[in-house]
Amino acid sequence: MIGHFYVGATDVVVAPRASITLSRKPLMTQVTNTVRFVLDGEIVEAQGVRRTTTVLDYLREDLQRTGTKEGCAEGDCGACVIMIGELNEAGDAVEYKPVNSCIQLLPALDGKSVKTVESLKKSDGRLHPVQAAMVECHGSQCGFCTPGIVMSLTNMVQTNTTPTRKDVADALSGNLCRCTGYIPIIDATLKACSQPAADLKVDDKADVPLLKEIRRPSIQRSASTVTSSCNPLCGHARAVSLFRLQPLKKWPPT
Amino acid sequence: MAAYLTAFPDTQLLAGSTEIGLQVNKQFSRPKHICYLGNVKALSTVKDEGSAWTIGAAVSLATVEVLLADAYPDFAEVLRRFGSPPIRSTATLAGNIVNGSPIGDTMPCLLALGASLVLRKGKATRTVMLENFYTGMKQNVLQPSEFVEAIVLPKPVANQVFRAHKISKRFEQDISATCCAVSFMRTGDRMTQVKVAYNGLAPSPCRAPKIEVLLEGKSATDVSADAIDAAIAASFTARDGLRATWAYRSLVARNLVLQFVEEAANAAQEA
Repeated sequence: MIGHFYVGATDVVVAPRASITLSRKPLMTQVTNTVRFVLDGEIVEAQGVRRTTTVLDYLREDLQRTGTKEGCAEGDCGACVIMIGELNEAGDAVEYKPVNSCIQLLPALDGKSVKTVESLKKSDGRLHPVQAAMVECHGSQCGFCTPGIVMSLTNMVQTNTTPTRKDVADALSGNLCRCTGYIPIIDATLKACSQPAADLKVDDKADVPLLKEIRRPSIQRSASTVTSSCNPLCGHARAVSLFRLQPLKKWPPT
Repeated sequence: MAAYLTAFPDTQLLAGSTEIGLQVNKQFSRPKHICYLGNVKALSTVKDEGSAWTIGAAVSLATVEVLLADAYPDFAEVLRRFGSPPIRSTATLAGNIVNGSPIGDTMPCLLALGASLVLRKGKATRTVMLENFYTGMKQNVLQPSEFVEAIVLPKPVANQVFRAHKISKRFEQDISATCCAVSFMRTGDRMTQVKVAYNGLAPSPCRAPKIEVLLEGKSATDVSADAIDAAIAASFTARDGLRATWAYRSLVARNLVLQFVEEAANAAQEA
């Protein structure tokens, strides 16, 4: 089924491309079948993906980021929590929010930054303080909920580095864990927060310029052009990531 | 965006994706066109208009929660219990309103506060009171290509009391048996301009004019449980539901009003 989606950066619709090319230039349009987002210092361009593809499916099946899990697929259990970042007003830093990637659709990622549990590993190989404390406090048993819990907590400590137990409980209200009873997880969070605040921040220095690069322009055009055609690849072709630094890994790993 | 919707009236609007994502995963919904509102600046801002806020259709509940924390603490608490942080960070007031679930939690608060909606179709806009928005179960006055551009929420005024509470089996992240919101002005020990609204009692969230009439001009001591029971029985069709029996729903619906009225009177006495 051919269709398109609207990912406007302003309240004005911008004309779509009239003709289709397979050039590797970014498609700077508002009516589009291309979604661009930043993932750990790379621009990922998802083109021709079915527009109802969930962010979770795209991460797991196209980008092989399988750390993020599917539990309920309806936004209740939190196994799929990732962080989505947007440039702040000043354009010099990224502001994050936690989302359930299982119910977010790919178009909603356009122009944004994504952090998954795989993003947390420090450049020297260390775990994020939340992850390290989860290990030390036995905050993980069967482990299926752990990536989502770590992402919810990491998101919280981006802005709140001195949380109370109540703050932690609220941050975890969308993460179901049926093993631990939560106490070791809350303990782990408070322990992680004894680390220097700078250590709790996710590394996004490389993301800021890329977020500026993929920002869609605010160009006003005549609304009548809206009806021209969209990319016929939409809904048929597999996703392509034009700016991927590393080749896709094979799955299952050998 | 308005032009896009005029060109493609069957477009599925997408904001927080907390409802559409479910429809995609569980009902295999495959809308032909999707229009994502999250990057539309004009819809993502809150405008302070002096006596009211104009809250854009794509503003998240997390943002609204912060906005209302001091003005309407009970509303902020209803929002906190609306869902988890990942839900609140994307879900929107407009999405909750237009989805129009009978147990939508923001609507009783908005109804009691006299909120209105700015509806837009192409370049034309009109303003509709939320209490006039629903025409039935998940039915509303929106025309094809028309969408909610913003919610206009009046700010609190002197002597205004606003209370709201949601009854659910679990405290966090659960679906309402009913959520009740009450707003009135305190004139001496009397209540005036009373507004009472519920979800979970009717095909759509709604005000309860018979209870409002009952409270209007009265002091807390003049209000009896029996009178509210009678008003509830006269206002709604008794209906047992998945979340609660009618006996339970109507009982807590009455008790919430009593509690709000009495606590407001006690607070005024202490002050």
